[in-house]
Amino acid sequence: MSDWDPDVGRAKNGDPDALDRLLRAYWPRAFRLALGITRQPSTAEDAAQEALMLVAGRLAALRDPAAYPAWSKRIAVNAATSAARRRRDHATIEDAPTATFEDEIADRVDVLRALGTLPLWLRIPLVLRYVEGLSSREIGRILGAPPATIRFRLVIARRRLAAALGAGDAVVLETFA
Amino acid sequence: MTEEMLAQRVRAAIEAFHVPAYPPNTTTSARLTAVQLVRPRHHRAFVYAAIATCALAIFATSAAFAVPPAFSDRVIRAFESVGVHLRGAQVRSLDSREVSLEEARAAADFAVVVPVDIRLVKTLLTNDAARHHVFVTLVFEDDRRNQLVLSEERVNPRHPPSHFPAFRINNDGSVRRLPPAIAWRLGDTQLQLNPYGTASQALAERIRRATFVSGKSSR
Repeated sequence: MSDWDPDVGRAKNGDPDALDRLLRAYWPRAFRLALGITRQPSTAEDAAQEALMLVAGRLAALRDPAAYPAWSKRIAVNAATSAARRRRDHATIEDAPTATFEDEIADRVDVLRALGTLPLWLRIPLVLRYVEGLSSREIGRILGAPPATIRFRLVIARRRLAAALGAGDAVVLETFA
Repeated sequence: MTEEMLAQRVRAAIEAFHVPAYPPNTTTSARLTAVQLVRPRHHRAFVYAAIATCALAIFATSAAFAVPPAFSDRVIRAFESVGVHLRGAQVRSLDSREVSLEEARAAADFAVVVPVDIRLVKTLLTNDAARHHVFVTLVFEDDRRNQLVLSEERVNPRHPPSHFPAFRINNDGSVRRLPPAIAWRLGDTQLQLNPYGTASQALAERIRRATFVSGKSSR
């Protein structure tokens, strides 16, 4: 995390190379986060682009460079959530990846479909946990919720995801950190 | 399925997708270049400007309050209903603060008389800057929690005691004239009480008598 700090400080002061390095590193993370939340690569790409623009545009206003990781993830989550909500207005929840895609990578599609059965308030903490490997405290900081609330959401999300993937009650219940 | 297996499946499903190249497309690239050309905002200068604006606003507000406002027509009408004519009256701004009895004695240019055996709750020192005049206000309380205010000020011994009328301004804007004040003198100190209610009358009489005792012993 502290690797970000020098470039964040330089980019804040208007160094274009530092900003470019920062955005290059941010891009795949924003895309994967958005993909986990939106489940649709094209929507995820749009959301990641939007997050990229917001990070580039608002970085100068970020007071504490150490807050950059959580701040940038929050922007990605917000952009992806908005994109997912917009998409929900135009398509059903089952309207996930294309048929050819399903044939190629069936398991991926299953997982994305299963993620799609979760409402956003459960899906977002789960993606932050599994894709970004964040603790409940860190997720809480990004989503603006207490760690206990995040732990509760993670337990529910994990049960529902396991059920959707056909694992049912066989999921070993563990306490989230 | 353990949690780790579940996490791995989700991670694998997400990471298996090809991440689009950076920068994503020419439009975004152009927009990013435009963003980079924008100079970063100088927050410190903005904060200083905000502080200066706030300070100016506070100064302007306090200046507006420092100038005594004229009586409004409504206030003039309300006081006229109880026989007091305020039209053309001068408004004085008084600076009042809570002090210790010793501070009040040091600041006053007259002998501050404190009645014996009555509990003193607080002491206020009021400065009328326009007249270079100081008032000392003592708040007393009896065993039944009745409170009464005793005002003391220096007067010219050749002038008769002045009786200032007392009023209460109610929340609805109406004005009520209170019973006449009790005023008396001890040397060059004029004392005044504004009792209203039977309990206050009794306490006022106790205070008045006690001041004579205190006045004699201090002389």
